[in-house]
Amino acid sequence: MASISRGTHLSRVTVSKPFNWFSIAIVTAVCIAGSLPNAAEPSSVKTFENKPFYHNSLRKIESSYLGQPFLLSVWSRECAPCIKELATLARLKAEYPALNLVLISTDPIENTSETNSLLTELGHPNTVNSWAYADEQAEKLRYSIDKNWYGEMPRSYFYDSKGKRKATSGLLSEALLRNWIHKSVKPR
Amino acid sequence: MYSIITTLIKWVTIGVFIAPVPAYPSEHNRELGSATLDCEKTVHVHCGKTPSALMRSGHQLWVVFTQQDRVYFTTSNNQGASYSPAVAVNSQPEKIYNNGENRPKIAIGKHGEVLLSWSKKTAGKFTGDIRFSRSIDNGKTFELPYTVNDDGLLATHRFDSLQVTDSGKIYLAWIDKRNRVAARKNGESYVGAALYYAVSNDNGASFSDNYKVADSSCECCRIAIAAHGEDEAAVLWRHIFPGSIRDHAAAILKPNGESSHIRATMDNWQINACPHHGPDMIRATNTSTSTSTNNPNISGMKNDNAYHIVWFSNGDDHKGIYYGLQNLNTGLQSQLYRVDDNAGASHPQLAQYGDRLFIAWKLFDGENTHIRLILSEDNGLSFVDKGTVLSTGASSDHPLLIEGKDGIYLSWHTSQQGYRVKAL
Repeated sequence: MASISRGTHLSRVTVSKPFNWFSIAIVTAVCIAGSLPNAAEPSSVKTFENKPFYHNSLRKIESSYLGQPFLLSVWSRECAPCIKELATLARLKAEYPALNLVLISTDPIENTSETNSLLTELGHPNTVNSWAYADEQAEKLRYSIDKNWYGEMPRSYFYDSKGKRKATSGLLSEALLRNWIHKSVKPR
Repeated sequence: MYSIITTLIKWVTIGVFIAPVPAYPSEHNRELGSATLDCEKTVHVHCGKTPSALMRSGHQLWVVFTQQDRVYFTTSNNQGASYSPAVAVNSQPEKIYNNGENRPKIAIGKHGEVLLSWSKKTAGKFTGDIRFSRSIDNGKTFELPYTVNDDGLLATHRFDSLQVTDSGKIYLAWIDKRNRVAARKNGESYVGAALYYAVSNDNGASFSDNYKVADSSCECCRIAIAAHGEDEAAVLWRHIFPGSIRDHAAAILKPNGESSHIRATMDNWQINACPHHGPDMIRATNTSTSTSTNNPNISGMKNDNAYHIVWFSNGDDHKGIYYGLQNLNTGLQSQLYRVDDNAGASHPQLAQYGDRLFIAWKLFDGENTHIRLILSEDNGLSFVDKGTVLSTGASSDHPLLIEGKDGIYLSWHTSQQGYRVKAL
């Protein structure tokens, strides 16, 4: 079984909830305007569901973090090391709210409820900037993320403030993540 | 409070406004020549997923596939131009693993039985059971499926591989996490999963106890299986070697539960990740016309142990899809050949017909997915590029190669054109 440390995350999620009143206002306002965004939103707007990841979505994600470092993590429900890493990322995101974290699930967006409940279980708040594959031809999406990537997961991209990125495959150690966060994210 | 808020957001989003719908190509209609199938209402190999196939007596196509929560069996007497009505194998629906490298398997028994296996999804994460069913009336009816793993645990038992030996024994090998569950219970660490197998000595009426081959297999890659000798099986799988090196191991499985494994590939891929990318393997001496005695790389090997293998690695030493001639006894490998090192190349398959060795794989070029083919007429010493066999601009399954009376066939399912069988 995947080793998932559970328990403490849920309480943390509950504590951080007041923020959602703001979310409601934003979502409602957007809905009233009649156009629910289905591509990248500015990072200040968080939606509840996974967003559909199309072949042009990465460009939109990148432009939404223009000038800011961010961590892009590509994962799948079928990947045990990914589950481990997601739990670490949830803890770090709670510790460093300023961490710009983007998750892309390669599981089809039709099964988004399973993906959402797993993210919740792993300690991610509903405000997490989470995307799920939304093209039947998954190869096309892999290619759009990185044509040199073979598809192994977890796959991580560390973006610096100039938009340059560094790719790594495999489970990231907490030490490595903390190191990057200390360099890239202002302490709270 | 939290749930009220989230429910409210959902309700507002879904109930009052139209939720965004992903721009998918329609999954429900398959246009096949002049005919269109309504896949919402039709059970058909074109509408299903993950078909596996063989040619019975070299000409009748037998296909197993999944659709909704069932495994189905269908046949074709005209190489896929038309199919018999699909027969449901499991009368009770059950969740079936048909993603990643999971797919149902098919083999033919000693007396012509249709033998089928698959992995059933159970309630936990990554958990499943190895299921088996057979037909003794040419696929008209199937016996009640049963579970082959004998531990009764809610744990991973997945990625089944099925092989019938020359003597008629049936081998089922799979990825199993029972030892990981036990280790965790005792507060011990456990790397990866384990490789297990079971043998049927009665043509599939029952299976033996489960036997462990090795601890620390990779967790989500298919296992390659082939017959060995008269009544043994050979397996090749992605293993986790010390230092988190995810290269391949191989083993000979004996009917009494004895096995020993060797390291097969030396790619030096140090990673803690899921490649979702398992190998393929066939016996190098499976035909009477084999030229292996003329091959300096095989002579000197005990021929029983010579196997053609293909695999994927992203290691320091090898990146991409590779072919090699592997001795499963000594671990010695020769004829190493880089098939394709494009990042879009994946899921290679092997087949041999007479002196001709075929390797097919999938290649995505940024727009379309192609099935590529190379051919060797000297038992793997050299290969000729045969180009693209079939292509699609939509989603597609992994390619399979099947042996018929008059040659090798490509078996491939795409969402646009359904299931295709093409002579190579």
